[in-house]
Amino acid sequence: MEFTMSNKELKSTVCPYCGVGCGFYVHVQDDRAVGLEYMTDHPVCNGRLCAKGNAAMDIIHHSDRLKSPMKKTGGRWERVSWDEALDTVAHKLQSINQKQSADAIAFLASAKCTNEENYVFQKLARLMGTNNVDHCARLCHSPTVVGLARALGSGAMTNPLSDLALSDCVLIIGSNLAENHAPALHWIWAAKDQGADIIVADPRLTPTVWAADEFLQLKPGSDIALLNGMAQVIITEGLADKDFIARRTNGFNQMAASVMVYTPEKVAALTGLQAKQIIKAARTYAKAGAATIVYCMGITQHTVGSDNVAACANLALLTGNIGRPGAGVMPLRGQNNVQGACDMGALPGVLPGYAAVIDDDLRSQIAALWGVENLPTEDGLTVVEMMQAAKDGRIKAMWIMGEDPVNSDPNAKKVQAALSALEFLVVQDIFLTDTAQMADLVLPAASWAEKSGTFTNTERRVQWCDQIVSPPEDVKPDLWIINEIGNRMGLQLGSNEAEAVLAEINTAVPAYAGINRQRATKRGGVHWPCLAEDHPGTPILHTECFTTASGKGQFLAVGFKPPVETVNHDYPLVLTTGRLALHYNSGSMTRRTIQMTERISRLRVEIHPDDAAQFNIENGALTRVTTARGEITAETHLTATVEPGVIFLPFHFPGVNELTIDALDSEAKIPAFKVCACRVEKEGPE
Amino acid sequence: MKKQIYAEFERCMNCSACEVACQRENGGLSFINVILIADQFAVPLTCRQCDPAPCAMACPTQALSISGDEVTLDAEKCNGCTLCQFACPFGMMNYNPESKLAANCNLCDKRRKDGQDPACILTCPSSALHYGDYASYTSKERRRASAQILRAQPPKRGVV
Repeated sequence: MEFTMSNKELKSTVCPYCGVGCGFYVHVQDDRAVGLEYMTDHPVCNGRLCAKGNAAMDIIHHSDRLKSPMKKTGGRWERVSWDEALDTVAHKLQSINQKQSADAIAFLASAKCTNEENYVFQKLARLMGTNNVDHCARLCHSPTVVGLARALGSGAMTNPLSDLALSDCVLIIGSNLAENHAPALHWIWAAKDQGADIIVADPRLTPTVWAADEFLQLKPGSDIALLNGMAQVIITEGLADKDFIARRTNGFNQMAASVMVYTPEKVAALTGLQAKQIIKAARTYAKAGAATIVYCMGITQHTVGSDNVAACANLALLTGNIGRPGAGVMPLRGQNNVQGACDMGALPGVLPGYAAVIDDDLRSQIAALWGVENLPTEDGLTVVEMMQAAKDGRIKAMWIMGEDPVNSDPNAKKVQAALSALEFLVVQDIFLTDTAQMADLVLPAASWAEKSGTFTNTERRVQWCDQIVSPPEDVKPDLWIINEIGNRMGLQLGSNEAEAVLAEINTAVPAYAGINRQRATKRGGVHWPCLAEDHPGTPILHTECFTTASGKGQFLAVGFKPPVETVNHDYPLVLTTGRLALHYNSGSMTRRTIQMTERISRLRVEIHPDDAAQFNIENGALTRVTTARGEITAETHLTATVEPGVIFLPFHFPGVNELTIDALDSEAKIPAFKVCACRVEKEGPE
Repeated sequence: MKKQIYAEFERCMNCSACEVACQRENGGLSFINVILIADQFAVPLTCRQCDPAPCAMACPTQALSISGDEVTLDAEKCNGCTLCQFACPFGMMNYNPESKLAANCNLCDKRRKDGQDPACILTCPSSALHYGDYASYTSKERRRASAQILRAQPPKRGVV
């Protein structure tokens, strides 16, 4: 979609950063992006953009862009032709497939790539004969996929973000949306203007808390205690929605029995809050006409991530706050297409459309669509499991598309050892990331603005992005790269045209059945499920019934368990990690953006002044943070926004994830990034 | 009535979106700055387009003047002496190190000629910035304050 203003050619696009999916226009001149204009009629953002979005264009013509395929020979990078590069990948993967099996190969898909690219990428893995395909959704919202799917039938956000403006109460737990999903905030203010109560539960006093009416500064990892405690108050005070529970849910009695022990006094002891705060929050949430729970990685990144999500869903079911405007459960997704990459089956346990690989009927339907007899029948390896398997020698080759696990995965030293142990590593990216540095071969990929296809935002909104500028001369779209490698291995994957791939997705993914280029190009696109071309799409899920097998919402009894790594004599402080407004995930884009680095260029550790006094740490000086897995040095920022006993590091800088723990949630297999034990020391001569 | 930029300090989240937008529109300089106080309070500052303007009064070459709603800079007359920076009570008169001249917010005059609001106003993710005359700002504030007062002290009419 294009329009002209003052003779400027403005092309519409969707922001390549987080999952909010804001639209904006790019001013294009001579095939270069030279300016930006706000899209004030975009239904997600109303024109608003965060700092990163304002600078998104800078990525396109960045001098660090990979400009041609490169192979590493004797530790040095050497430019190679596309033919040689593609032949090498095909040959290496095929020879490992023949010598060992396809299960000796692992594939990392990308939440930054389009639906069409992810679809074709996982199709290639599966046609080769392995389900070892995963992506970074594992590290952010895999517990949402598990927990919400079990409770509500669909592991996705229930309402559009604009519904926040219709809520009478917004409970934000484990989300710092003011920094990480900033344009969503204007809907919160719209709610507040109507008198809504905003409750924020977080171990840190983040900018999101500045918007709150009530702040629950709980201990890291004590979320279930708080959520169960609120459920206990709601049930004992008769504030539950008995009619909704009777009509639309299963499992109430068991859940209710399980939360009764979570009295406000007990929860106060577990969370570090006061009993009256818990009671007040429970009453505010339950008495609201329409209430929304917003959560993010503060809920998911724990060994109990799936249980945390279930506890959130319990509160919503208990009070009937689901399936109505302004009432829902909103997991905020972190990447522009993390929802879509999951929908496309870039997950080791499910095929496109969440068809379980172990389900014979569903699997054979996909096999028939792809014109093959069989597809692999066992769950593949998840992100962290792949790294362990590579380290053990069970995985011999990896193909990583647009991900940077050296910076994004926990216990990163182990990740580096794992990638070093591979026989063959190919990385496809726009920059030479720290992961790409370890590769045998790198393939330069087109950025979001240089290709076409659909992205699915956090609200299940599928939006088509047109190519707006040409890629650099020797740089190719991911879809072309995947297809070329597939062709060389004799696999029939599909078209190089995203529109044609989307047509196949219409059949493979029922929720996308009615989504075509034209509809997804319309301002704001279409919300899945969209079951036919004349189906309007579904902004609000679960309005009449849930998508569980029974059609009922399922209460799940979950109990508090302490984090797997607790403080001890050697590591007396809790380390928690998170994000900053000015940087993005592994930092490969924002650490290359001058407007961000001129404001924040160095890693800073946040420490409470009381802890600093105890450990002889000075504001502004360097502090060494050590865990059982690694150490890092950071500039010290003394602040009362963290509580004594807790320190904070943003994970956008290399080395932070060498500290974090790779203990996993048993079902979702998400690592417990949010809590581990550490010590701090003054850096420098003793 | 004079239109200018109003900021609701309560809503500013220190996200820097306005600064980055301003930099893009102004060749790397930002004429809006968010100051973080005690890690918990963010104060966005812009040129107030004062009338009379201390910066203009201090200018020895009459490069700064009031024109319509704005304090405008005549680059031909500016000698880069920086006295205007001394004079501005908000520290919002800038200096362009490339041209070695003063530089200030002109409320995105090029954008306004295209019928668009200033970039900082459109981008603010937290709807903290408002562009308009003082009455449009205060009436919005009054509506919001009324809603809050009503909620805190609902009238006793037997209905809620």
